[in-house]
Amino acid sequence: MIYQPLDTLLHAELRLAVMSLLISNSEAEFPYIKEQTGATAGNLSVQIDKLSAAGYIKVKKTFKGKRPCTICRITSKGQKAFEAYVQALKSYLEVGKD
Amino acid sequence: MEENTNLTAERSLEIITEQIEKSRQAVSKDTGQWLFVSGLITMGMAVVGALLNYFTVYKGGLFPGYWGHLLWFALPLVIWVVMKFINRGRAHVPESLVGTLVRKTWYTIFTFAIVYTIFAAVWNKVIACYYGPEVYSQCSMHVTSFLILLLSVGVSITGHILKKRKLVWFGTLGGLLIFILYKTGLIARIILGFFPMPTFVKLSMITPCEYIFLFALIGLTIPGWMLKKSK
Repeated sequence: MIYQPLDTLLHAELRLAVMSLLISNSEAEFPYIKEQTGATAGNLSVQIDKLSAAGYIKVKKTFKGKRPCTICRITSKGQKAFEAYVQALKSYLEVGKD
Repeated sequence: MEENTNLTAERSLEIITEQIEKSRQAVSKDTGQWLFVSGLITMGMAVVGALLNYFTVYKGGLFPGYWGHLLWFALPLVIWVVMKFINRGRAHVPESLVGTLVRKTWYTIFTFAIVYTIFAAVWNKVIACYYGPEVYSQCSMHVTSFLILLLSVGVSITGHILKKRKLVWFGTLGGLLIFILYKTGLIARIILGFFPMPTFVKLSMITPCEYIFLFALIGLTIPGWMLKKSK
C-alpha cells in the first residue's frame, strides 16, 4: 500500500478547522470563524494569511456599516486541495484497518 | 486551537467532522432564535389583537370587532425589525447548504402565506359585501386553519433538515392539535358557553387569536427555545 502524501499546509489543526468550516459554507466572516474554531484573533489571522498566500482561500476586506469586516471564501484550488487531503487521509485509515 | 502539525489521521477527520457539525449547530441556533422571537411576537400580537377586537365590537365604524386582525399584516415587518435589532453587532451565520435549505423553505412558506392571506381577505370582503351571509358561509376562504397547517409543515420540514426530531414532533403535533381544536370549535364551545349572550358575542370576536396564541406557543416558541438552548 502506497501512502498518499498529506498537504502540509492543511495538516495543521487550526488551518484544517478553517478549511473544514469554509468547505461547508460558501463564505464566512472573521468573527464567525474565530467563534467556531475558538482560536485567538492573532493566531487566526496568521493562519488565514498562510492559506490566502497559498491561494486556498480569498480574503475580502470590506465594511459592515462603519465597522471593518473581513470575509473569507474558499477558492476552487482550496476545494481541490481539501478533497485531495481527505482522500489521502482515507488511504491512511484504510491501512490502519488492515 | 494552536498550530499543531503533529496530527493523526483520526484526529484530522475528527476536526473536519467537528467543524461541519458546528456549522449545522450554528444554523440550528440561528433558526431557533428566529422561531423563538417569531413565536413570542405572534403571541403578543394575538393578545393585542384579541383585546382590540373585544373592545371595538360594539363601537361601529369600518371594521367593528376586526381591528385586531389588521395587525397581522404588520407581523412579518415587526419580526424582521426585532431580529435586526437582536442580531446587530453579532457575527453573521454564513450561507451553507443546510442554512440555504431552511431559508428557502421559509421563503416559500412566507410567499404562500402572504399571497393567500391578502387574496382571502379581499375575497371574503367582496363576498360578504355583495352576496350576503349565506354565500359567505359557503364560499369564504379560511385563513387561520390554512396558515396553522402551512406553518406547522414549515416547522416540521425545518426539523427534518436540521435533524432535530423534537422540532418535527412539535411542528406536526402542534399544528394538527390546534387545527383540530380550531375546526371543531372545541375551545369556544367549552369556554364561551359559560358566559351570557352579550359577553359571548364580545368574546367570540377574539377568535381565532386564542388558537394563534396556542400555536405560536407550541409550534414556534417552545421548539425555538429548545433549538436555541441545544448543545
